[in-house]
Amino acid sequence: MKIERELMRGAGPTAVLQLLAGGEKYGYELIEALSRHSNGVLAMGQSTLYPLLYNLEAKDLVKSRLDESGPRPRRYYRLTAKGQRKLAADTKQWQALWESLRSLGIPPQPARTAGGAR
Amino acid sequence: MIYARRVPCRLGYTRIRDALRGRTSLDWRQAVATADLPAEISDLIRNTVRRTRLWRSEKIDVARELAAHFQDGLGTGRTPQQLIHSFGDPRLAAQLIRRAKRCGRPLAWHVGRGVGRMMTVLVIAYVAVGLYVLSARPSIKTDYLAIFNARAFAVPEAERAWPLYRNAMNAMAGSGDCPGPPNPVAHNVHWEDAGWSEAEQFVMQHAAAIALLREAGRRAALGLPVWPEDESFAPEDRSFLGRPSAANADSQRRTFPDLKDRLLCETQLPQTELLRRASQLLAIDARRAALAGNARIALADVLAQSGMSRQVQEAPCISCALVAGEILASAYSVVQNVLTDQRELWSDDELRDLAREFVQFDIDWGRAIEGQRNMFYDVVQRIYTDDDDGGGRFVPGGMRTLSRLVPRYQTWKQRDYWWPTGKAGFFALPAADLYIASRAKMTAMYERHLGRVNRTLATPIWEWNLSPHQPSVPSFDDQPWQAYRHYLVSVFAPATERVPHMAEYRRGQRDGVLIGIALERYRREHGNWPASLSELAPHWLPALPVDRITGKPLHLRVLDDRVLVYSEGVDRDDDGGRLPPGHAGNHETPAADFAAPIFWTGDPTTEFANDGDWVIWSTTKGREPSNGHRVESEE
Repeated sequence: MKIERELMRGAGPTAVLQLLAGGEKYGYELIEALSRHSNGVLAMGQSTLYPLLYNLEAKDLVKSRLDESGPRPRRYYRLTAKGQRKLAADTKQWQALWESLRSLGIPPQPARTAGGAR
Repeated sequence: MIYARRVPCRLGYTRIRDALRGRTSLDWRQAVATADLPAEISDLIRNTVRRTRLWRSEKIDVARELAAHFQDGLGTGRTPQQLIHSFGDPRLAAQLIRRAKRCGRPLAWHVGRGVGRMMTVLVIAYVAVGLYVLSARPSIKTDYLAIFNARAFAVPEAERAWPLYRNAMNAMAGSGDCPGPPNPVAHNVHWEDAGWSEAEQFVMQHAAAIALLREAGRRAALGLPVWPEDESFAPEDRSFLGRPSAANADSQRRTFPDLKDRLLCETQLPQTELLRRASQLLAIDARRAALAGNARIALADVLAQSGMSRQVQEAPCISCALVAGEILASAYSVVQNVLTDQRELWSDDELRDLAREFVQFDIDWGRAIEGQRNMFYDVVQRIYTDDDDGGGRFVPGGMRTLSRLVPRYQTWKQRDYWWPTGKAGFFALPAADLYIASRAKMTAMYERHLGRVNRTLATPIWEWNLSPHQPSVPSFDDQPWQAYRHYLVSVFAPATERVPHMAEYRRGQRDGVLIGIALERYRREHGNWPASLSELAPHWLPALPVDRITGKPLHLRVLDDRVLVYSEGVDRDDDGGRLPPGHAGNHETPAADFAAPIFWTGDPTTEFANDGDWVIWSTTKGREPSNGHRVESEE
């Protein structure tokens, strides 16, 4: 299942920040991780990921460094302190949003049994 | 075509530019080539990076990162086609990358970009205003020069006084640059002056010319149309245009290739200087005749002077009114001289004729102000469009017209102002349009000023509410930028500012000479002076003039066999007819100004002391009032 662009526009940065919270990663690694952790739901094209990373870097939420010690030069991204604060704030907002959607029945509550047990 | 459109962008990010910046090894294509990727992937990266149109340093970062990305993808076993497919649209990628990378650029770049955009908008707006101004055309609806000359044209040729003046002056051509007597002779010389013999000799030698002047002065009108350009004057009149004869060469001649381009305010007034000099000659001749006991000629000379003051006002302007006042003052001084030293010269009837002449005639200051207004509106209609509702826009030729007024403004304010002309003027047009007050605002300010002047003119001095610190005309002394903004007002308002003062001054002089004539007639009948001026009315004077400064009765003082009539002056207290020390005034100070004219030397640096009276008539042994008169020596 693919997420619609508008939804992805809000969720993508938070997802990337969350992945970087686990340590620095390079572009392809992030793409793979997004695809793997979300069963492909949050998989984004490279044409979207790299601009997203550059945007986060421009906002000083992530920092990058070029590592030329490996077989090929790679640019690694890591979370900044500002990025951590942003992630924390976004996480709270997503939780609040999620709770609100749940209270509206999204996703639908499992049907109650006659005994009241789920 | 596409390539051509991108050339500027390509030029902006070339290797040469990098080299100039001191950056080397920024060949992003090389970074793609050395990544050893399949051709289709290399093409995709090149295509994407090229489309970003980023700085070369940014491009090489993006190229390296994308190359590493695809290398990683190939390393996981994916095929180039799969990777290309999952990469997405390279055009969209380039667009998003460009946008994101530019966001991350330094603050200075963002500031510069903002400033650049703002400047671009301003330049576009400026050009748009310029085009707007270029589309404006003046609407010259009124021929103010025709209005100015209307009276002159209305005079039948046979009744014109001007040809007589011209012939008289040509007959007296002396050593000066202009036709007429040499300057030393042309002054208002009194018989006790050092130059009297020379002056007397001159008028006697030119008796025929003086007779012509006398005849001309009694004609009803001058009949001289005047023009800004030399060519419109008759050839025989061009020598009176006030320039040295040597300068009448073609290069010095005032011409206008397009007669529509001439300004009313640039009209040449040869009659003012000529009539002033002619009046002075007649004053000399009147004194000569008085000394010789020739009452008829002396009277005719004075009456001719009065006629000249009327004729010179044929053209409605302040200059002409001021000269009319000077001519009248010269005539009054002759009367005063005669009634001081030759008081039996004129008969009662002749004195009555003189008084009647002076009563009948007053300087038409209102018409002079109207003429000045016409000069203002003549310029207005040339520098603004006319929307028929009082408004209008600045026109392209406006700057050139304003620059022609600079010498006039410098004359008033002794300041250097400059309006760009030529190419500079062309590029400054939008700024001028935006800065210079609109037609509506300019005319409204000028009308407010003229309204104040006319109200003051119609109000006696004792009701004036003028403070030295509240000039009636906007001076812009401390705001030269406002002088530019309201330039026309700056140029045209000062000429009218002093009119009420001069009008009251001349009226006071006339009051003085009328009272003087009445006093002399009273003395002849009673053998002594009246105890009070009130005894003169209504038999000797229809109505007794009041003190023009205080509104109270004028003072009469008898000193032996002589009389002195005076106003209390601006200090508004009775100093017994004593003139202020120095006899000079500061004409920059409106409230003090009125006392000053009678003592005004014309030198604004002369210190003014207002402790004294304004003597409007005196037969005490001395000089005419305009030169001041001390009575201390008589006491």
